[in-house]
Amino acid sequence: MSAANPTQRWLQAHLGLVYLFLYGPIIVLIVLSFNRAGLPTAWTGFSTEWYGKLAANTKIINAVQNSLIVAFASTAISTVIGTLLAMGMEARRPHPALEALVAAPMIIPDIVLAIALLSFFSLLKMTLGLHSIILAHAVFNIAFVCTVVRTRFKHFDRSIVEASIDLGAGAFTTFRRVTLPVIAPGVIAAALLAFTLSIDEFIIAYFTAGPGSSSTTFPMQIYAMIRFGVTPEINAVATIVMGVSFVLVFLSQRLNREVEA
Amino acid sequence: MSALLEIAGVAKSFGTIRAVDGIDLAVAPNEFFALLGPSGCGKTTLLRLIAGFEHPDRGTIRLDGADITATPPNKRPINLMFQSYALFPHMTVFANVAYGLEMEGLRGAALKARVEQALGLVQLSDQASRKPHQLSGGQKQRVALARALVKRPKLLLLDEPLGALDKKLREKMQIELKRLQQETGIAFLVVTHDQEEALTMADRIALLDHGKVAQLGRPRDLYERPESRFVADFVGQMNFFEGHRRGSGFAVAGLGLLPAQDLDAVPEGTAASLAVRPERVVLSDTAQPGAFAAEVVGSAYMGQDLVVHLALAGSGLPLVARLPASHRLAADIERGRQVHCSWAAEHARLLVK
Amino acid sequence: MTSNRLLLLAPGLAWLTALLIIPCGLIFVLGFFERGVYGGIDYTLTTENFARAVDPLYAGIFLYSARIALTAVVFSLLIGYPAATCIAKQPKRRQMPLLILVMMPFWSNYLIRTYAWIVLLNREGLINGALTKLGAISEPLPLLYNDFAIVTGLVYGYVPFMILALYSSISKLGPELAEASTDLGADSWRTFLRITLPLTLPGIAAGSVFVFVLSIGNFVTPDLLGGGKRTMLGNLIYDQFLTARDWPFGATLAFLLVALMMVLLTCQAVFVHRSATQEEARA
Repeated sequence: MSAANPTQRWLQAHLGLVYLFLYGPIIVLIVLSFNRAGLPTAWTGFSTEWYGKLAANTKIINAVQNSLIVAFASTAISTVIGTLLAMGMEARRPHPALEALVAAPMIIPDIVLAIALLSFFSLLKMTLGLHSIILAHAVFNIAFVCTVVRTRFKHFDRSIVEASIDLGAGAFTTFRRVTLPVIAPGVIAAALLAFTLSIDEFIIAYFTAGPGSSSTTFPMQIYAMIRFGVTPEINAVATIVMGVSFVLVFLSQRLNREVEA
Repeated sequence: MSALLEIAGVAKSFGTIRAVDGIDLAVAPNEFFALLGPSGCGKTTLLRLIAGFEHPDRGTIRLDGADITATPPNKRPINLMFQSYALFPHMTVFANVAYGLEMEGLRGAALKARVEQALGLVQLSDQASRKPHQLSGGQKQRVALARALVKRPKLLLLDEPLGALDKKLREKMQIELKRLQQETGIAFLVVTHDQEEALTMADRIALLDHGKVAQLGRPRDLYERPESRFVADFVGQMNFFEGHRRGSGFAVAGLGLLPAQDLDAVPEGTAASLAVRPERVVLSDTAQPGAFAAEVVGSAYMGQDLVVHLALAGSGLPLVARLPASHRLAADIERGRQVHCSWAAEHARLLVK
Repeated sequence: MTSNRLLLLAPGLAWLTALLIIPCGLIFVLGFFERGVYGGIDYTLTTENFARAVDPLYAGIFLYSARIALTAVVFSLLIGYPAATCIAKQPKRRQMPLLILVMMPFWSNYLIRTYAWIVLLNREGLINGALTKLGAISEPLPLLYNDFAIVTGLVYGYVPFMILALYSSISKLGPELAEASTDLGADSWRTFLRITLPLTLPGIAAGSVFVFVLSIGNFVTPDLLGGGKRTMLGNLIYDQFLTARDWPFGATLAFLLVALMMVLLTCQAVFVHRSATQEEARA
């Protein structure tokens, strides 16, 4: 490492630029959100007025509430179902078809899942609203939770389950006192990731929300605002959204990293 | 004394592999019993059958006279010390040891007293509040032991208990396990692939081969009186000569008639192996009646012993001899040296199987 | 044990069957029906939707989408490969944090990240503003609402995924093979061409397929950064469902998108399998 050759130095410089590419635009938004004039061209002084404006915007407050409902509900559903699915899949080597089924929601383009669910719901003559978004979000979240929890099981010494039974515990006690506490960091990490994905998800929510503004989620509101044009308010929204997402993803990764230790 | 554990005709297959192929054996109360065998001999499967994690295809397992074949593992008064120790990573040492007692409904001061007593027994009283990952390998092993012993099982199963320890610690723990077994009066059933471990610790050993008991007996029986070539070969080191029973001796091509014990048990003309322990081979630098001339091919200094590799004159057959380092010849054994070797008839065992 | 396992799997399987397999199957079936007079579906069998999909108008859109997506793949590769190589060469304990840093934006809000580029590329945006102030340009450059902006947005969105795919391939390789090649007298460029590149092709293929499929099916980026002027496959599907209300045709297009993805994934899998067996044959 000490005597880095020229190739390595070039690579490191390149990697630095990649991080700049990835985070530069986000940092610009954050800085602009505190710019008094809100314009990207000139710095006119520090201000938090755009955040104040947000707090007074009932449309945004409503949308945030909707998104929180959707995210909490779909996270709760998918954490339970996804964890059970992971346990079932780790009990024995799963069939490749099962592996494919769990991978599918993560790799299918959002728009395909969105229109498939829209068609399906309308075939059932189902009224659309927050509940249909919750059902839809749980589809991909179950897949993500299952995948994250399964990585936790990879480090799981199965003999501790047998040890618990050997010491006199039944199947449920063993799950509650041994299996669950040991996989808990993975489950929490999965739940945090699911929450982040759900609260940021736009396309599927957009298609399955149904008409009317009563079930507009936060990303849908953001989309409407962006289409309307660049406003300083969006910068403030963006800062908050990115901040929340990053914190959740960071926590999720931290929890998962402890797994390795 | 009636048997504590009785295994009768137990068999278990996985697919087409017969892991345990009809085993009968009995373990007495207060006995230190070892299941010995190479990997794949079925010893671990037998252990899991006794613990209840596998269900036999046929046969019965009785404990104290009661049939426990269908009893689930959490209802058997038998505990297992896992090879990986299987300590609960999220619990302290104390909580690990207390777990099994809590399952019995024990709470409060009574629980605390039992746990502390068990930790004292394995000399870990001062580590009670640690987590498993803060312990050394030897400490983990003792926690696993305390966790299993604290339930006062009728029978304690130990799966390769010393496998993960280094050599020094292993020797110390062999004595420690023996002490614990005698102190607690609980019957121990140890699974191991290490014959030395089995010979030093066990009261009796069952040597398994391909899912069957190859020989069952005291360590001395297995070592001194192996009943088959497999047993003779697996336990300790052994020289083999292939040949036939003929008249008053054992005929080996190129060597002529060799003396052997229990000749009458083998019919005339039967093909068999003659087995001689290296430490029973007597080396001398002068020719004696009945001794074979041999040339030293190589030697290995082992501290207290010297292992000498020889080639018998004429036939070139290999022979290993083991002599104490204090032996008169030990000092100047070197490659190419001519010696004469012999052994007493009572130390040469004929094996037909 | 088996019944326990089924009990664990049941809720997940039920959910995914009801809300993934059946709806996706429905998409396939819908493609064979006619559009209703007022939108909706007329349940008369037809293959007209598939015939329409290859109509020059739509084939043109498809080719344009493919071109844009392919450009995004190429740039993602050019940016991603050196970055993934660099991460894989770091000390082990530093690799994970660096990767997480790459993936963080990927897990966060796509709309906001796309919006950031409007702020940057706008006529009154940061880049034009800075260039004007420096006197480098007198007129703002047309950076936004064109193919350049779309490709930039797609690369920005998906390059983390490409880096992840490449990293898993490159890090598996380890430094020994490259060192052996150097030891045998190859310079670093030839080592890369003859050893590293061929052995990391599976990662390149996997990353490329995903970036391609995600790009071609995208409608947010063309809509926001392309200004809705150019239509990509994703926009076309969107329009059929929410604007033109021709669901059967939209379903046909979505089905074709999934079919394309399946074909590419199969090719990639066969490719990976073949290179794996070749390795075995060599071993």
